[in-house]
Amino acid sequence: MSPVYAQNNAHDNSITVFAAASLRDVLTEVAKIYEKNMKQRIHFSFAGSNVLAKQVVASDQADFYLSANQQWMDYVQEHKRIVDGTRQTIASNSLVIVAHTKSKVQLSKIEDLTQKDFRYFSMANPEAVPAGKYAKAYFENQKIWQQLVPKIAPSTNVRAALAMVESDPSVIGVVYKTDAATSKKTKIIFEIPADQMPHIEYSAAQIKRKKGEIKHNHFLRFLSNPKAQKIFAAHGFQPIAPSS
Amino acid sequence: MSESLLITLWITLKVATFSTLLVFIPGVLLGFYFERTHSRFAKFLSAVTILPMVIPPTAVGFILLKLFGYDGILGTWLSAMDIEILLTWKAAVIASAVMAFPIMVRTSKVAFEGVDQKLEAMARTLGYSRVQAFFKVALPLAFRGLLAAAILSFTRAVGEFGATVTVAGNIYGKTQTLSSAIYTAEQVGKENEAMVLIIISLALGFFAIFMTEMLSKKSSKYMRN
Repeated sequence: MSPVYAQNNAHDNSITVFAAASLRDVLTEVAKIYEKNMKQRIHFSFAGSNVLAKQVVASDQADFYLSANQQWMDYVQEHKRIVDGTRQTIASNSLVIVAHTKSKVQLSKIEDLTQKDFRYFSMANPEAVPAGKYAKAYFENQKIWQQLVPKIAPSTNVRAALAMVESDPSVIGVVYKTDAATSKKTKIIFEIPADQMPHIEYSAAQIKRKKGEIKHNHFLRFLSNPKAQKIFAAHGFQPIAPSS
Repeated sequence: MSESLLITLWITLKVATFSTLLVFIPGVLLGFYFERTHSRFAKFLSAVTILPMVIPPTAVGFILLKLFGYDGILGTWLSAMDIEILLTWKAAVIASAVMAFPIMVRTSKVAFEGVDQKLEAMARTLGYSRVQAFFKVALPLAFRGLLAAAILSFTRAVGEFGATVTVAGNIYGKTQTLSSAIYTAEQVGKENEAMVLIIISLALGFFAIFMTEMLSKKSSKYMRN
């Protein structure tokens, strides 16, 4: 670890990271190594990227923000809260359609979705949460969104959407592949091909603080470290070489 | 008022009304029991019924999701009878009823505290059974307080969010209530819409509390104090 570090962050040897709910498992694992190596504690706040972006802008609590899409990072940037030159893409993800392991719904092509017998289609809020927005864009592209609308059950974040599919076999839903990988009670019934949908990129940046701004971005650099990238890959993310 | 607003308001009132109906009778009976009995068992039971008030609503939601989920104790049983609960307005009723129950019990207990037990004792000496004394003496005398309890339970049900959104979801026209509509409007940046919903909530809440204040003002001359 860098010895400069402790001096620069004399007030409290910890950082606060606001991160998209879908990054929960991977970051918790990454944090263990980071905390050990850097002798610095990480406080996480996980929620939908949209909720976090608004909190980042409205408050002075976040040191880093990790968004599940570029749009909400743009929002934070428009509010001039990003430390210059720290914004970077850290990983990418893909979407899958999941059903309860007891569900009989099968899908060979996505257009069939409109004919399938299920009660609700669970997804993160398609108007606000990145996972939902990505999925909506894809379904619109496939021209099946309008037929799906009456069956949509929106959730506040992608993990809540998954929890609903886990609890009820009559509900299917769309979540990130990485979330589906964490669930024993659901199965993937369709993988949305990466070339048919917008790039799902996780964007990270250091946040400007009115007081107590940390003087380094070790955390962001650590995310592109091979050790961290290996953990991302193990969780099903596609790593991306950082731009900086 | 727009049509979508009316639908949300209608669902909210429907859910809150059914939850209040669901908790009213058990709440009154338990409130009476807790006021008149001081056994350890009563205290234990009282603590259990208060739990939803002191634990996070999201925890209640999660527990309900597990209970009513496919593998859950109640879920298995209900799905055998072909009854769908999750993501329906019934789930919203159950969640808000669980959250409103402690208020119903506590406020009923307070209502019975105000009833002079001597009057019940006198009724017993005049030949009333315990049950008769409850229905003909305690209940009528506590009536205002019990009505206030029902109103407070209703407002709790109207405001419930954490538990409801977990089991009933946030489906517009089906399970979206005032509180989840406010949350959604805020999420998607429709601030005007959120404001209108908030004003309705304020009006509803004010009216309810004002009613309970009026009820407590005119306490009967047969009440203690």
